Amino acid sequence: MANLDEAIFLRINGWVGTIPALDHLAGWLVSDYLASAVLGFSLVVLWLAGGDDKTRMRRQVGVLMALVGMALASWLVFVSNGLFFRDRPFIDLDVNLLFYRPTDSSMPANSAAAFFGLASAIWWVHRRAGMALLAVAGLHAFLRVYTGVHYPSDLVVGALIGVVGVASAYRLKGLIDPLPAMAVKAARILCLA
Amino acid sequence: MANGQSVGCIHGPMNTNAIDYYIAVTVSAVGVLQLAASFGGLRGLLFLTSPLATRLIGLILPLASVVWFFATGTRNISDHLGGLNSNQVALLFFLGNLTAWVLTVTVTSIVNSGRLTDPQQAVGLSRLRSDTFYRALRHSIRRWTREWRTLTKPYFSE
Repeated sequence: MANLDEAIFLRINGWVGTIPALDHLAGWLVSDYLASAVLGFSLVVLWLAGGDDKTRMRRQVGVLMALVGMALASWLVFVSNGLFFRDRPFIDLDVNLLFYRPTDSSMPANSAAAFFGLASAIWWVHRRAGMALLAVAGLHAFLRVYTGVHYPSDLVVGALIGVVGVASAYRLKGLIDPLPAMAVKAARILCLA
Repeated sequence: MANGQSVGCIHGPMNTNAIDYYIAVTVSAVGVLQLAASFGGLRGLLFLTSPLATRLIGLILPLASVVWFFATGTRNISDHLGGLNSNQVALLFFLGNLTAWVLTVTVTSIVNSGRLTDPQQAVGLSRLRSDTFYRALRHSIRRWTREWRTLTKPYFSE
């Protein structure tokens, strides 16, 4: 299994240098800034761009649940990092590295946990936007392998943690249920929701 | 320390990455707010009356700020060497959006005060379909201070 993971990694990372302009673009897309901003802005759009009051309320509660889900996913990553450490690919392999050398555990990929978590939470309330954002999260995950910072399995585990975090948030929603809706109604007083 | 930048904190001697990121987020967020307000029909948040021009601004501002941010410096830097960690990115993203929101509601409340003169009876964001933000806020706060006992009832029910 580890060999398969390495083989897939080396295959994808081996494409670096084929098209130099693509490598440059990958450096932008895989940065800590761009994908997180795209997902963050999608929450802003989802918050503001509802049709009627009922749809807007459902989406705004969805945005709050996405944030709760992402927090849960980040906590799961934090816990797993305390229990398990995996070296980055550039420690063990001859890698074409297009990124700086992160020092935290390679598995699980916390970016995948956050991005897949947010995207799946949005999918819960807006299917088309959710699918588009899952594609963004998938592209980002692929590029993390391409640029040499993660093994494929790190991203699969990270994505699963993200989805589990959001699913858990929706399971917990029954316990905290009036609170998200109350928060949205309270924000209405300040014309923020 | 690298290039005179702070190590792992925003409030050091000139972390240019942090400042540039904050500016890029603020400019992008102004554009994103225009797009979202246009799609949501929130005329009180629009700078311009033309939907086409609004959506063009909404696309151009984020794209231009992304290009500016990445073309003007090395951004893939470890947070140990002057880059930003994920908490700092999240904080600056929030502050950039907050700045963009304050800018947008202030400017649009001024430019739309003469245009939107017949507000509908709605509350919250929905009122911004036909009113400016500051007028809607003033209306909402006055209504709440006058009728808070009646109005709080539904907030404790589904």
